[in-house]
Amino acid sequence: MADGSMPTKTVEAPVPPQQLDVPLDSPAIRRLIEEVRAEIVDVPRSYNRTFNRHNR
Amino acid sequence: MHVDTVLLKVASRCNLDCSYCYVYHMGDESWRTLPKRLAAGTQALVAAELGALMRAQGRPFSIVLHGGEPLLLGLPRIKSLLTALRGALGETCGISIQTNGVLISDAILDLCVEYDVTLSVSLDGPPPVHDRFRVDLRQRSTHAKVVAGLQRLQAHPAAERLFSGLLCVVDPTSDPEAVYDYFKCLAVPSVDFLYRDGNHSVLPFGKASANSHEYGAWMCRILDRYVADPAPFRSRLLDDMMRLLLGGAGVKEGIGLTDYGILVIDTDGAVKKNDTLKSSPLGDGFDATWALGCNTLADIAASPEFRAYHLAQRPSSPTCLACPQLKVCGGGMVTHRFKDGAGYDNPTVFCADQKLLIARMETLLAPYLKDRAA
Repeated sequence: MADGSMPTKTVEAPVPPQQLDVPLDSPAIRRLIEEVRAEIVDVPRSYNRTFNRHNR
Repeated sequence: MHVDTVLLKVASRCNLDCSYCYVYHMGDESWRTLPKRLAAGTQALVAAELGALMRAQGRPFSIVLHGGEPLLLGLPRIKSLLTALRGALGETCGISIQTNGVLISDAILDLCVEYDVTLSVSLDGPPPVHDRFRVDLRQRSTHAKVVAGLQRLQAHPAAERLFSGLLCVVDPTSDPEAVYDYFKCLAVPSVDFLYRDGNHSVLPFGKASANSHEYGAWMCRILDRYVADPAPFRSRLLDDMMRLLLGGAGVKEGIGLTDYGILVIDTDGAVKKNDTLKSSPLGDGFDATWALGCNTLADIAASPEFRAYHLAQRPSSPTCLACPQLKVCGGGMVTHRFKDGAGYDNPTVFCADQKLLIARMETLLAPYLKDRAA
């Protein structure tokens, strides 16, 4: 098995929330807000279980 | 209930030997006695039964060609299967292939275009991360072969239609920024992050205890990269959780409280539970022995035992039911709730991880929620 044979970096603890530089113009969040608003008025979602399924 | 996803096992074997695979390396040995490939006669039966199921429940579902490695079925048999499926189901059902990418060829891609089939490729990150676990049958690295297949897919004239995205199994000891930036360099449309399988009795790789949050800390750093990215790819796990926090709905199994309906068909035509349950000692089999040709899928899906399996996804642990984050977490995947002596009636083994990640999301979304409320 390959387990343990490669060098890896230990994950550091995340930055405490109070020190987080919150991006006020995040494209990812803006997109999600628009998608949620669209769902409210029954506009088809950008992806769904029936047509965009991955593994599980 | 209704079925929304059919995992069709078209090959019981794989050309890779990923050390974390729940099919081959987590205690289930059923693959050894299954037909290596979905036989021609079984293909026709499966297609006819799926058509009948769609008509019986009055709504379509997604079909995922799955394995093992589904492309081991081979081009001629894949073509005959897709012909049968489209003949029985028309164009209303989405069909996709979850592949490790090594066997992607132009002929396969052209076939997928012809039958309106999408592909998702499993890739865990840059070479040191991917090759740590995703090795071939001789324990050799596979990264270069996967990326070659991926590049073939991305170079296809219909790549935008064909390529749904990557599936990445998280290594919590890896550098999350390096993984994120690597996927950005590949210009993929989406990355779905999956946690490693495990439970309270056999902890997932990298977790020191059920109360530790190695996966949550890793995902928080991915999240920070994601929300700061001016042109991010999609990430189903992060999108679903934040959409739920924003008052919307999720689509990913193991997130939120929406029911999902997953039906699995093995290469011998037997109907099974969610295949990820192979990673817990109770396994993925029903007490009843169902097989296509003897039972219809519509009858199986309507049976009390199938309904009990369906309802088991709903979290029942008192800890979960009292948790303010339940609507986002959903209690996690059933297989991750297992504990010796207590079955599945527990919070997910990733409970602390999800709490950390949800708290981070709440912090990030607070200005937007405040803006919406104003």
